Amino acid sequence: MKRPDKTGADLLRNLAGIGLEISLTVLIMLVGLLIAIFVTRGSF
Amino acid sequence: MRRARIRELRVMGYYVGLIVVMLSALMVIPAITSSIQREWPVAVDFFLSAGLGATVGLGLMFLAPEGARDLTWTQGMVTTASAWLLGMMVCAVPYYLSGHWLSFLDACFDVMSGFTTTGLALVQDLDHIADGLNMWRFLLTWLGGQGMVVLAITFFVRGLPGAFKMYVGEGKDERVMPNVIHTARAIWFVSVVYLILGTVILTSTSISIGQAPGRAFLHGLWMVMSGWSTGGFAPMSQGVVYYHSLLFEIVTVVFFTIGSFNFSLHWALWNGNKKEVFRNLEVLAFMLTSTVLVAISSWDLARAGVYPTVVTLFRRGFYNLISAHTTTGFGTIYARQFALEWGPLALVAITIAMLIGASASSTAGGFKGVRVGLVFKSIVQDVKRLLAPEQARLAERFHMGRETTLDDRIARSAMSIILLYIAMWLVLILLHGGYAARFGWDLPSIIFESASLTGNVGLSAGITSAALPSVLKVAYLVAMWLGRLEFLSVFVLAGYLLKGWRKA
Amino acid sequence: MRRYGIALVLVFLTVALAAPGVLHAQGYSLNDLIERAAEVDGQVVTIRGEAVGDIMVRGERGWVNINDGTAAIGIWAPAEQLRQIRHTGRYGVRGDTVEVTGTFFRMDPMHGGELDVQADALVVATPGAAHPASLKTGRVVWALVFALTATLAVILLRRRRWEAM
Repeated sequence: MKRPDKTGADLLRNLAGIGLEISLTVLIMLVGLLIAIFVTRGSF
Repeated sequence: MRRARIRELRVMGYYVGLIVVMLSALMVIPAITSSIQREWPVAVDFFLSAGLGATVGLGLMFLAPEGARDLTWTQGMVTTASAWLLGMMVCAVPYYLSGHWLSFLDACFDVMSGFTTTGLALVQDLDHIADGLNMWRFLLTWLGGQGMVVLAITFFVRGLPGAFKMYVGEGKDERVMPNVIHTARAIWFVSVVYLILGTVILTSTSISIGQAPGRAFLHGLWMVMSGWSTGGFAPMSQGVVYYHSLLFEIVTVVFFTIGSFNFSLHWALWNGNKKEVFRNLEVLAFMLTSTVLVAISSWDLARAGVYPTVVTLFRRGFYNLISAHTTTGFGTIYARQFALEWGPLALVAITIAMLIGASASSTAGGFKGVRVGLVFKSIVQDVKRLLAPEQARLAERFHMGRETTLDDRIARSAMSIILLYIAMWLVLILLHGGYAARFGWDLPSIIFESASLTGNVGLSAGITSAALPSVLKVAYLVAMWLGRLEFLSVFVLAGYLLKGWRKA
Repeated sequence: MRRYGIALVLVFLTVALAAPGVLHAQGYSLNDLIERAAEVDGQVVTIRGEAVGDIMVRGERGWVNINDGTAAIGIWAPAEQLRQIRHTGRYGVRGDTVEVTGTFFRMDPMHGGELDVQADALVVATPGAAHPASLKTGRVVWALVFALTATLAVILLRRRRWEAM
């Protein structure tokens, strides 16, 4: 495992990680939204 | 024998003192905030409190004996539990001096609520509080989420031979890195990056919804600190409702959900290990439980007409459920609305979400997803064994960063801790029951509030208030403390004290 | 003829005031609104509270949150009316007390299901004022005392370590 490093490649990897985590959260929100659509039968 | 014991106490006293000094030094931050905002009386209060705390802490450090200052497991845990307790009292002084808390106990309550990232508050007149005081509330939450021991490890690198034992006493047992000091630094790195990123994003959001830039920055910073650490404090008395903004709510969901993940997961993902997301037991467990619980609560709330449309269901149903499941405690409805508007099924769903909680080795509370996953797997394993006992079976395995065998010891440990959390929840319900008639609390509210405490969540159904009897406030405080430290170190402390009392 | 006219006016007024949906709930505190949300939902109410925090203008209308000591609620009002508010509550400032007449919603569909009041009329009833808190000499003294004791402790601790070496 690596220590926090300041090389470009490492930072890019870190950013990719952040992107992945944000995507995971967005996925959770989308699931919540889909469920809401389903139970209200699309009542917006 | 007595000499050894005294020496032991002196070593532990030294470490407790060290942590108290560190906390007192941190008061410089709110002191500066108040000075910038020209809240002079508050700045003075912080300088006073810092001086007092530093004196007490340095006094304890004087106790240090000659020679090695290593700690055994017991001593490490006793130190951690004690540091949290004494630290709480020192940090409560500025609150008490401000006049916004009706008693020193109330002030201690809010400190412990911050440390444990619970988020229940007894503060009075929050809408008129000084910026310095709010800074202290959120700083304590953010630091409490990381863990005080983690903080100490990072800054006092040289003098901490007993570091790892104190670290485990704080409820973290993930070895993010082989070296505990590197682990602490890694945790800080991730937290600081998200703090900066989050503050920039949330400040921009606040400005776009109409807040003045200065306030937008403070609110942005504070809400990120509170969200990331799954705390639950908000700068204004209405909580998240104050902002009246879907965008703001969405951004907070992103940060508090990410904040609820295990630090090991952050580190794995930040180092390019993308596959971990699909294999990690906690991620899978959380996706499953959150989907099921969101589905149940959404269905009930829609059916009952509480939130009949997609948007209202998403903002008032989903949001609060996820806030509860990650043990954050940001609420988009007023506390009493849970009691008055949500039906029994939705309340049960959100209660379960609060109890299960989120990931281990994070700022979140509750049973922790990994334990729920492990218990589930081990029950499946038991059923398989029953169905085909003659067949030789490979031991069940689970994946958390690496593949580990799910042996009986691990399964048992997971079950025991879950049982302890459930026991605490039930004890809290019983205690409330004693006062229910006097205050007019109904059972669903009691169950909800007790779960919120057990999981260090911070959502309230209206029971938590400064009018609570002191007995309950103390019970809440102990519950928050026990929940955050995952029982172990507090039990060790109790056992240690008991042994000492018996010997004397 | 005049008597009949007056009687007619009186009857008209009585009917108008008793008409359903128009309830001037002068007696409600903000906490009452939350507690009795289902009952008051959709009705026109008149409430008072101190404007706190930020006034967030979003186009032609905007939000102000008002706090009457029992609770705080969001008011969605026309921007020009919001602009009357000079002081909002914070540390050292008591905000303008505003009186709002508008429709109360338990679950406002326009605002994603929030509990709020959509105001028709918002006026400043009592202007607020700055009231800066004054320094207490006693506290300053204690602050200096503890600064001294802490410094002393640091020096003594340092010296002890130096001697131990």
